[in-house]
Amino acid sequence: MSNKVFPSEDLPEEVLEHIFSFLQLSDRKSASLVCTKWEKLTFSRRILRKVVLNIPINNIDRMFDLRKTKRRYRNVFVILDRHEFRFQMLMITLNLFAAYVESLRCVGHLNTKQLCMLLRRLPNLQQLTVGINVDDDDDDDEDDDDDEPLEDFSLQIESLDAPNVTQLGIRLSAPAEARNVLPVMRRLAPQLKNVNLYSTGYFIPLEQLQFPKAEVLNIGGNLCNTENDWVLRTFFAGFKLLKEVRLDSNIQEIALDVITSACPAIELLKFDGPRFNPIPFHLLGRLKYLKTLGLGEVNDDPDISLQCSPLESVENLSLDLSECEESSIGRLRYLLPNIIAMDVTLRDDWNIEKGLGHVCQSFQGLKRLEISDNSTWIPKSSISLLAVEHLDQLEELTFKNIRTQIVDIPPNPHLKRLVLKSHCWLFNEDMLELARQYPNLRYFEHEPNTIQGIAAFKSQLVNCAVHCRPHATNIISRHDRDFLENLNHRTPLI
Amino acid sequence: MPCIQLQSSDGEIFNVEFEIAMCSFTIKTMMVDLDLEDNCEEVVPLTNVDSNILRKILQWANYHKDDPEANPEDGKPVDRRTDNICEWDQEFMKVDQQTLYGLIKAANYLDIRGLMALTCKTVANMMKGKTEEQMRKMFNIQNDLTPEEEQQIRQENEWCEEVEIVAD
Repeated sequence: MSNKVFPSEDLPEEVLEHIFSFLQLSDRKSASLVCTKWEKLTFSRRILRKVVLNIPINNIDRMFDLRKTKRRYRNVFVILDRHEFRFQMLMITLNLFAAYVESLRCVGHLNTKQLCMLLRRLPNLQQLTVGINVDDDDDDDEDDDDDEPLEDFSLQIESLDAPNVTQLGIRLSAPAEARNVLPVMRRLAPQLKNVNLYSTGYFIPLEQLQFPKAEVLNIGGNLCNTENDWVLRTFFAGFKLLKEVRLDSNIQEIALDVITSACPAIELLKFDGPRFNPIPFHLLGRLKYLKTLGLGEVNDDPDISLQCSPLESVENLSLDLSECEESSIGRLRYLLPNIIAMDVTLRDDWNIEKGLGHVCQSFQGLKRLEISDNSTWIPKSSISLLAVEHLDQLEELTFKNIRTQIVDIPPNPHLKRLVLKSHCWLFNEDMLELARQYPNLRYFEHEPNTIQGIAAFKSQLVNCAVHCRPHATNIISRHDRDFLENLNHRTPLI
Repeated sequence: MPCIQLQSSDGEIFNVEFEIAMCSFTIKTMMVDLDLEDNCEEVVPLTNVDSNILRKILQWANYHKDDPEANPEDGKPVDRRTDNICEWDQEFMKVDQQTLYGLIKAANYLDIRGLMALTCKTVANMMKGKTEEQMRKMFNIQNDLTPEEEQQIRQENEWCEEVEIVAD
């Protein structure tokens, strides 16, 4: 390559911007210091889509520095405290690029009045996420609210116009916070498409909230922790158009009953935490378009009943195998006959070989498999991948949390993507074996790895994107090192 | 195989398969506008591309003619990775800075999206991990920022973070 300088001066600005769009933020920051033109282009409006401005509200002087900004930030994050003065400073700062802000995330002290002011100030806001403070005590709030005559206040909220806000996320940890956001939530509810609600307690009168346009619902914590069935029925019956639902809480069967009746078009449903038993296949059977199902923990045998008819539309399945019998997998297979992609987390005594063996034997049509080993089993010196042989249509394979050496790699001409995350060990000869067994691999990710191993692998598979970070010796823990040294008699080339 | 004739800025004429020439949106539009689709005799002049660069581009377009067309509207996230350049392209990009520069300008003028991404990724890779001073040297740029402006940018950069990618 010649040493001639690259004549960037003549390049059109849109070409430079295109180049910068491929840089990571850290490199874009360096590039922004090159010259005036580059500073403008490295943080152009288009590129700012991927940047969050974290407003330093705890330091007024530094916040003051922002007044010279020329950037039109789209995403803003701020931690608020109870000083009204700082809130005023924030409002002044936001003024500099208020018309461009599309997403705002606030953590900390925020009362209803301030929330309304923020919404008024940001006319093009689409996404609002509020996670309010833990140490917010009641008395203080009462004072705040008293400043404003009550009728004035409800008028303010009624006239609140935030037409572009379609996504709302709320995280609550005290009743006072709920009181602060509830009026605004009620006002925005009818227009929201994406709703993300989390609360450590039952702080919100759910029956007052209806989200008829919501297509995505994530709900978690103890938000639904009420004995009052009527409240849950009213709340969940308010949804009409849901497509994606994630239930990260002790949701009750009644909620699922209502929601599956009200929204038959649901395509994705995930239980991301403890779930009631048994698995409600009879309710899930109503969802004829269900494509992605997350079962959460699969525990006991009676968990899986064969009474229901199979869910034929489901193609993607995720689950945690916990204290369930081995026969459970066969039953799941019967109820979910068309699975092509699977995410499995192994727990308790489901070690990797047992889990892999059962999954591969039952779900032979898999194109994508991801297995994460969180079992309590003491790792053996090596694990065999022989079971993967059953999956002759497999295209993507991912292993997570595997802390041992991999052996017996079965051949597969279809495999395109292989990801080995964290400490599973591959020796240089294993790398060559991988390259031989998976001749059509297009993407390979594994770390840590040795420089020689990576080079050997690359020389075998020239068309495969290889993502391996050569490891520095110091990132290996003592435990791993001892473990490695005891392995067979092979010497790892670290 | 129907062909069209492309003329480089220095006068050389290239006989190019229709299908290969169509990777350029500029040529595609020209053909439609000038109604040349059924006429192979006409010569299309490319006044901004010299024969060296045009030869390289046709070589690239020939190799990539069967690539699936990327549709920005299909909802998939735009590819922003720079470490996924295939071996052939990596070899193809082993050129001097002048040629690389010529390829970028031509890809931009001819509106060849795949080549544009490849050349821009290659330049981005050259910039990776460099300091602002090294970048200035590399691109021969004079620093026109005042110390105050530099301080302001540095400060502001500190408050900028990458948007978390919401994984499903």
